[in-house]
Amino acid sequence: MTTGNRPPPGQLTPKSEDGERREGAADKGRQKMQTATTEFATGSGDGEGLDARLQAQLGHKLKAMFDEVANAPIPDKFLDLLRKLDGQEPDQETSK
Amino acid sequence: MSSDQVKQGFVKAIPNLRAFAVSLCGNLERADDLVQETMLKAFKNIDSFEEGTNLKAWLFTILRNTYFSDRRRLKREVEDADGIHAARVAVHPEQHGHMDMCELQDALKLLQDDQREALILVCAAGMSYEEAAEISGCAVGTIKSRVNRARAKLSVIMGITSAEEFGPDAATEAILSQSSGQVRSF
Repeated sequence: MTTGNRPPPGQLTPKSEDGERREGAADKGRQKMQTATTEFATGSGDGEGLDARLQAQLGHKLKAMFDEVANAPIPDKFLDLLRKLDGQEPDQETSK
Repeated sequence: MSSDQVKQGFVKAIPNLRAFAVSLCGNLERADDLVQETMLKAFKNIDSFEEGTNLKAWLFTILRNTYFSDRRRLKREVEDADGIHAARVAVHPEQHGHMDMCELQDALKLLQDDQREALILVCAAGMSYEEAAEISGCAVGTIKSRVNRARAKLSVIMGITSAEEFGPDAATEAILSQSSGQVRSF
């Protein structure tokens, strides 16, 4: 917003005042958020408190996401493809 | 090298290749296409594999190269899709405090490609920094800093969705402003 749009002092319309108050609050929130973001982003190593808890949670979730697929049986289409590519004897060691 | 050995190595690597591909692209169907393409390329270029070196890392490298070259080709669509994912993460304040697999996948998409890859290789696939550096074709120090940056960013994304003190409006705003910066940088 520009100062040119500001109503002259004394001529207070409730709408504009309300609007300014809200904007001020939003600014504050943004500032607070930026501080928090900076702390997380530049935090020394794995950090502490909320950050450490989140890091642990994060590691767990990443591993779980990966393992869920890594521990699933190999779809037949891949074994078929390998046999085709190999063009040799059927591979018994691949049947799980 | 004997084709039996290669074949066994391939079969052994498939589950990890699939998991790596899903983590990278967030979609099992596309991941399986990537794995299939990787196997085709690997067979075609098997002569360039040096016996005695890390077959799994070699296959991971083929897969990530395939993924990233596809991704560059589809850059515009991907950016749009990421925008949708960013919005999806941001407009669900009622889910804060709860992070399921879908949300993790969405959160991962907010990271830069190189940081997401490093995080997945080291923190999800359990690769060493050295292996991850070999696969990504960069220095070990680069991988370390990518992992740290990825961790920091993900914890911000997850932290904001679970930190009630900021309230949903501030959280939404912060994620939106953060993710728009991220997505643009792709």
